[in-house]
Amino acid sequence: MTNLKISTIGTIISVFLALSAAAIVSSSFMTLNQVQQAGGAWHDFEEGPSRKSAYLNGVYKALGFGGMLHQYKDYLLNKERVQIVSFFGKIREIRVALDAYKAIGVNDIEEQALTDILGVITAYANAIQKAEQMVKQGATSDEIAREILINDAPAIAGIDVLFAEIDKSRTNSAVRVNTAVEEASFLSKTSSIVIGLILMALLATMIWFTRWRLGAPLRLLGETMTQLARGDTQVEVPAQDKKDEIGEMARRVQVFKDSMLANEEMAAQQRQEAERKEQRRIALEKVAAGFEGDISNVLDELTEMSKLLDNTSSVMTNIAQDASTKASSITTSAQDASSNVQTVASAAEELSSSIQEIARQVSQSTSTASNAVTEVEHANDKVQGLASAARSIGDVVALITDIADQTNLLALNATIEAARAGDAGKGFAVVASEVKNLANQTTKATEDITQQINGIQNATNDAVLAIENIGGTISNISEITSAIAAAVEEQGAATQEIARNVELASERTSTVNSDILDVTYSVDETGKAATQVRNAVHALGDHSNELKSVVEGFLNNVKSA
Amino acid sequence: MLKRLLIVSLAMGLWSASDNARAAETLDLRSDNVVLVWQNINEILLVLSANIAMDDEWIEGLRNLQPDEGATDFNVEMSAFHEKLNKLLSSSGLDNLPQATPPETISEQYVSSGTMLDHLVYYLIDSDSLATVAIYYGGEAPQDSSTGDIVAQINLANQRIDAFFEENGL
Repeated sequence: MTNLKISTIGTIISVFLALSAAAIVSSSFMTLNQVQQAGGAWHDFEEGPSRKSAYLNGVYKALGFGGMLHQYKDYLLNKERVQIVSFFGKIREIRVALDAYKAIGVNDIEEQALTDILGVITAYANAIQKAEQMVKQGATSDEIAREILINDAPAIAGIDVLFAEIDKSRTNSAVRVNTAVEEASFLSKTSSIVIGLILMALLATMIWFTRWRLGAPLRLLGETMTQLARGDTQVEVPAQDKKDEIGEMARRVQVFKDSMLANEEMAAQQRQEAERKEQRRIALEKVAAGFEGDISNVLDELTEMSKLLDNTSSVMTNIAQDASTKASSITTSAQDASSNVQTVASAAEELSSSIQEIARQVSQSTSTASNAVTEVEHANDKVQGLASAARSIGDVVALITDIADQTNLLALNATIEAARAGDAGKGFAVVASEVKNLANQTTKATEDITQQINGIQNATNDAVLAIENIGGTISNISEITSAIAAAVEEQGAATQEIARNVELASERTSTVNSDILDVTYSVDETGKAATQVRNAVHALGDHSNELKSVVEGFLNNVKSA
Repeated sequence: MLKRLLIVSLAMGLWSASDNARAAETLDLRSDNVVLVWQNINEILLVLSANIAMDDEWIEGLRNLQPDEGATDFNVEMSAFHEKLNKLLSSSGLDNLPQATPPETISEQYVSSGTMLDHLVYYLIDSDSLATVAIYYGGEAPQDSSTGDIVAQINLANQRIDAFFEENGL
């Protein structure tokens, strides 16, 4: 037994436990069977003697010995027909009870007893019918009693027999129940004892197994493992010579012990290595601490500087944006000024050209005015000559007028003479009349000529005066023109000065435009540069933080190394 | 007077038959016992009818009635007679029959039929102060009766009580 493996012993115990369980189950089934038999016996008792007893009690009660059935004569004599009906109702109840009793199952003795009871009941039924007829025919109670004799003894005896049979049956049922219960009890006790013994044996085996066969070596092995766990590698491992699982476990504990020894040696080496690493770690921590301080200051300064640069770049950006805005405004203004100057230059040039044209026209006017003066003088001379000729014509006309007057006088004389000559003088009178007409016409023409000459003379005088006035006016114009020419000349000089100045302003405005474009470009470049500076500052901040993180990580690594 | 003689002769006929029935009494309850109860019910109905009959031929007609061949259901016939008997009892101010579940076994049929016989006897006693009653609890029991014979007797009782109602103006 001591050389058996633990698993084998466990299997044996399990088999015994299974057998015990099977025995318990079998015992339970057998006990249950006995209980069912007892139950069946009790059921038979309930269905048999018990019910029979109830039916028999019903019969006994319905018969009413010393009671109702024996009173039938009084009922009949007293005409209590309702009681007669009740009597037959009782008879019917007894019939039903006897029938039910027999239906349960009876032996010969019981059947005979039932038949006897039924006979008495039937006799009563017949007797009451007969007695009723006798009463109807006037019979007295004594006469009826003498005529009708009913022997109750068979019924009484039958009832006693039935009660006795019921007692027997009850006793038999009780015996069956008791027997079944006793058998069940015996079986239960026996099986309990056997199973108890088996379980006790198993329990003893389990105790031996767990306490001595398994517990003791395991306890020693456990103590050894505890000492090993405490680091006592000098302890001896017990039970290594056993063939079972405990021996195998002990041998593995020995392996564990050997491993511990190797581990101790390795641990010593590791301790040395750890000490060396610790020293190195301390040194590194010192260096790292110093480095951390230095780099922390540098990083802080760097952070401050980057913040400062960030602010400066922000200011620069704002200034550049402001300058750009103002340069744009100046550019617009300069472009407007340049445009205005060019407009003025063009106007000045046009003005100069106009003045030159005016000067030229004035000069031409002066020349024309001089020519006009000359022409006026010449015309004045001509008009003076015309006035003189007109006056000469006047003289001629006066002469002609004189001639005409004389002609007229002659014609008048001729007429007178022709009149005097009579008919002879008629032809002459006609010529004298014609001459007279011609003299009148001449006179008239002369008068017209005179008038015309007077008009010419007047006109000539007026022309002379006008020409003189024109001459004076032209002289004035000539003088004015000369003054205008002088003024125009001065204006031309001034205009040329303006044009020159405007051109100079235009050139300078262009220069300003060009310069402002350069300034705008520079401002834009400054803004871009400021943005780049800002981005660079942000990047510098990020790099600074990253550097800080890296340095911290590095320092942590150094510290934890 | 003739009616009285008829009634007495009916009752005496029943009495003479009861003597013969004694030998037929057995321990077991059978359909014969139930048929005998219904035969007695029919006799009472004939006696009641004879009490009110004006014509002997009508009584003979009632006696010679044949059961309806279509009547086969015990419970239907029982229920119908139960109702009619209550009507008859009510007409005389008597208590009605107790409510009962349809009987299934011969014993239950015997008890139910006996209860109806008892109540019909109560009516007889109420209507005839000189009537005898014991005679209606005996009689010649038939042999080897079937359930059909019981139903036929109940059907005859239904027909006779209907005729009684008609004759009696109920």
